[in-house]
Amino acid sequence: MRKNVEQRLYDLAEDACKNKTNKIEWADKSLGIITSSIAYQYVREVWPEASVLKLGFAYPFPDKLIKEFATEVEKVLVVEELDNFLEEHIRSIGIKCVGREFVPGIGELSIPVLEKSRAAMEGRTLSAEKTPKYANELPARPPVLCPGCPHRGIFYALSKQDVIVTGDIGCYSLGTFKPLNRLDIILCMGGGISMAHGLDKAGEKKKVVGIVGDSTFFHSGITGLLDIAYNKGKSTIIVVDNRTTAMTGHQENPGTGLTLMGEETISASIEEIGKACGIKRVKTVFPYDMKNTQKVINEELEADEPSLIVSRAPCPLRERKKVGAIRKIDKTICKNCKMCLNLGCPAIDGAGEKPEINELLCSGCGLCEQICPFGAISTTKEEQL
Amino acid sequence: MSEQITSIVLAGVGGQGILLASEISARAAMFAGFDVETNEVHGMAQRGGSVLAQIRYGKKVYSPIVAKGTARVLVALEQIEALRFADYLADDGVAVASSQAIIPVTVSSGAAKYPQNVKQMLEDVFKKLVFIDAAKIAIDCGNIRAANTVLLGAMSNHLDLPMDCWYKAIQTAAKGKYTELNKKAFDAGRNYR
Repeated sequence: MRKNVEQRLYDLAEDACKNKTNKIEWADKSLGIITSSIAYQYVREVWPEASVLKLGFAYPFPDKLIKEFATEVEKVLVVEELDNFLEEHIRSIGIKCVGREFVPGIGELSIPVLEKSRAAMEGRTLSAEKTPKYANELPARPPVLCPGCPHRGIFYALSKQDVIVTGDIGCYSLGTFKPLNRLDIILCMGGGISMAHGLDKAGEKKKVVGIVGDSTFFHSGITGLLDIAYNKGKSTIIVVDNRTTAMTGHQENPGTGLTLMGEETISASIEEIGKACGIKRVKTVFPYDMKNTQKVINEELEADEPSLIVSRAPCPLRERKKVGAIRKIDKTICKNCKMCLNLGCPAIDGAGEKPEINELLCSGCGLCEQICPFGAISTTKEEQL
Repeated sequence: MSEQITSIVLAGVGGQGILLASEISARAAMFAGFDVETNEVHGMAQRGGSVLAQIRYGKKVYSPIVAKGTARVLVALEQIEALRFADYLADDGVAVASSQAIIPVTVSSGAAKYPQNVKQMLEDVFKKLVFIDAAKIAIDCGNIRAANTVLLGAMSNHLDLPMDCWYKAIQTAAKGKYTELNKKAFDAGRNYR
């Protein structure tokens, strides 16, 4: 078996030399550039006159082709993004080349980055990049949870708790921005659960809450949840289930009952999976009901065992409809305490004298009405009729 | 870098229809017989963040990324986004900016201020500026959401793509009942003086 694998690699290397995706574009032979993937596109624009060996099938390395190319050109430059994988190999087969000394190994390559590399190779210096004149005076515009986003209720409820919140990648990553500011750490998919368990096991004094989306839970959260139950963790896991894979463009997932091709299929239950993992405390909340959401979070944080809360409400952006009746702030009642602005809702504009709700943006989720201590926010008269 | 490549940079706020504007521009260039590359910010695009889309066309285009200082046109669907991405525009390039202001959460929560004299700042930064109330023109055409196409119309005056290519692009990218609205909005932008 091992012998077959080795032989196959050797055969593939032979094949790679003949493969059409590994191609030499002969031009001026004073410089030959070996490159691959997107870097090739930049190379073609920055060095239009150079000879290029473009590798589309880079491993196992097409050594014969690389040698054939290198012997024909006066100087070899290797252009690759991040690790100097090709460059090290090319040197190892006895070919003199340059690469990392001119092409940075950190960050993405681009035409301007390679223009700097070219200038450095030719002993020229480029004029420094200018920042736009008023750039420093402009307010930052980070992405935000949409008006009516069901995740907002969970993050707002957590903002009242002295806990550590771990999370990962999805729309719920946006809970990290001010004013919600309720994610302490973000790592890879499923990391919300496993980091919560890690912190808990490492002796963290505060209670740890792990956040994960429904799609990410199915993708790589279940293993961590089982680990929590099996290894007697005490963290609280919240699955923010918006019935879709929102951030990447609303794809189906194992919980939605449809395949990616739109065919009907099973709809996996997060609650049942939690129970099957051995989590005894499994609760479901409707995140637009702030009072109950806060009550359940309080109870579960106090429990001396692991807990799973499923916060379930569909993504309004996918549903393409408003959550409820549009809200309005009665300025005669509003005391300007700005509590509603803590929701970080794009529909609530606090730039004026008193906060105002933008009727076009408001999705009618009603969270602001529930948290206003003076009862200044209600549905508009027309909506009530 | 090859001089025959035309670069377009579209800037705005997620949800304004920047990706559709990018799609229409790319198709118009494609129908005109050019090689086209595009590069867009997805995911964040519907979520209120700063969004950038880039289109490059020419006889042969390799990189989808526009280098700073090389765009022939910079189109901003929101006024201060033109200032944010001003450095993409070539020295002799044209900025087409909507006068629409969208207040970011950083401002509504009181953490930052939205500049007051944006028109003055735009005139200061851009030698060639088309400052246009695209939202109002779009409303007059029937729907504020067509503001993106109004701006494409205004932008088209500064590119070498024929009208029938633009119409064909609109027809294939904005289908059904939206075709007529977008054509109307495009014309209104193109005829804006």
